[in-house]
Amino acid sequence: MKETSKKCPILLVEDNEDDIMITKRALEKGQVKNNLYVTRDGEEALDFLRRRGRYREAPRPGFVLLDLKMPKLDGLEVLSEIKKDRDLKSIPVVVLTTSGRDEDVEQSYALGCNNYIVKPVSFEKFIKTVIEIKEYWLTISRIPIN
Amino acid sequence: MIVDDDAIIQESIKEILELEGYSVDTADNGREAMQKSNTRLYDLALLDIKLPDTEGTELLKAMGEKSPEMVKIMITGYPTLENAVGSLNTGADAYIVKPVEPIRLLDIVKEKLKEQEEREKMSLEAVKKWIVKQVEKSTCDVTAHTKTKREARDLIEILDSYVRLLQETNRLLEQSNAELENYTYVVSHDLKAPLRAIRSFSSFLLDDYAANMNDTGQDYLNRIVKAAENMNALIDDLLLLSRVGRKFTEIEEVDLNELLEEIVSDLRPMIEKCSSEVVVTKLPTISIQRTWIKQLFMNLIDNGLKFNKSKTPRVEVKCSVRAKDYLFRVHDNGIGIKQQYHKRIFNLFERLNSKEEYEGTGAGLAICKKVVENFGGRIWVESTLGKGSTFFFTIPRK
Repeated sequence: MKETSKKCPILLVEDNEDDIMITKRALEKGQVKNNLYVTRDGEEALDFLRRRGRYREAPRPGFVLLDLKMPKLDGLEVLSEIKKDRDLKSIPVVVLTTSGRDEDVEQSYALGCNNYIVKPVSFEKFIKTVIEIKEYWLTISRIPIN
Repeated sequence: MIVDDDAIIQESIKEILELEGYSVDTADNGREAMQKSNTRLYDLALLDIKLPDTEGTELLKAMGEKSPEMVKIMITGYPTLENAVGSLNTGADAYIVKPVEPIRLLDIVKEKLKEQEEREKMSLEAVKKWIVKQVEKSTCDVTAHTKTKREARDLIEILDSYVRLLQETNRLLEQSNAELENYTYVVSHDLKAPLRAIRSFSSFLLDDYAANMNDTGQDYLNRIVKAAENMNALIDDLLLLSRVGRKFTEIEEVDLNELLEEIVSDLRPMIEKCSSEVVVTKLPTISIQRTWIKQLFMNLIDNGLKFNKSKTPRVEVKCSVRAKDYLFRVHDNGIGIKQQYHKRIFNLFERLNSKEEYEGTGAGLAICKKVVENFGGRIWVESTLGKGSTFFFTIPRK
């Protein structure tokens, strides 16, 4: 069966358990029904994307939600790896982080992130943000499907 | 300082100079002029050559002895070669013939003040030279001469070491300032993550478990949510403030008329809600960081409309272009500020009114102050309680 982008799974790369719960809930409340996969550090994220180790069966995500501050490989390093990789670079990466630091924003775009979003403190706004991200990347934009 | 016994000339010159942003003092005669220069330092004096109590050249000589670094310009109604040469020989920097043409006067004043500034920069070198010269002509006694020479060398060394110390202190200050700004920036960002958790999980509790809680429980939770939101606003302002000093926007040509139109359009909902009015009188185009000049006007206009109980709140924006800077005025018919708070309102998180009455974190004017100071200007307020406020700020002309 041909997979449409609407049903693409989403990969969340995030180490903070609070933020994982908040994001899951925001997706749920925003009626985003795509499967969500979570990896808790940069190395794990790359294993997932490259289907290595325990992620041999992992699906290719429609887009990646990437936190910047993480143990081991941080978000910027993961971003740079994805964008250097011929097979992975077409996957949209949305940086979703607490940091609105100008340096982080600049560097992320320089490394090829597709979208940089600062996590809002208010949950209501966060739901809206998540819906907008999903709408944009899985409905409005056409993205390659493997 | 203008020294002239003719009140009309005195006034007209004063007006010309004040329009250009100079602060001007006047004296009617030589005695008053000397008295005034005993109590204050003047950068420049305009002296009439004929004064009721003394000859202008005499006053010129006396003033020259008292403050050699002051620029002295003679004004005369009698254009004789004798007068001109006499004045210049007695230490006048320039010579103007009546009737005084405003443009020529300003040209001379500006030029001479600039020269004076250059001279001041050179003055450390001049002091050193002077010391050496004094030593050279001081004495013929060889032993005494060697001694004085050594003393002079020590003196110069001390002077140089002070200069180095000042330069080093300055560098350290700049560095620690930058570090502090960076620190605020990083910390503020890190504070946001736990804050988001507090805010989010309390709202989850309210959404999912409100039914299991009595009113007091719900009230507590609502308070947590509100406090978290308040803290978020504080952090946002702190971040904004720490960003002012950081270089991240380019200087560009900004047509302030267009910028103000943009601001008024941004504030449209607020303006329409309280049937208020923003009146802008023609503004110049200046090279500046757009983000920050916008923030500055935005905060000042927003304050003028917010702290306002008038039936038709009104904010006026004006600018005068002066010799060295632009002077902006943002005037409102709002609640006004007591004299004793005129300085304090520019402090961070300083509030004069309760949060219930007027929303906000109390960082707005601190941000304005930092923006203006970064532009190299000054900001201040003139206001009387109940009679509106006028915020003034200057931006140097490049």
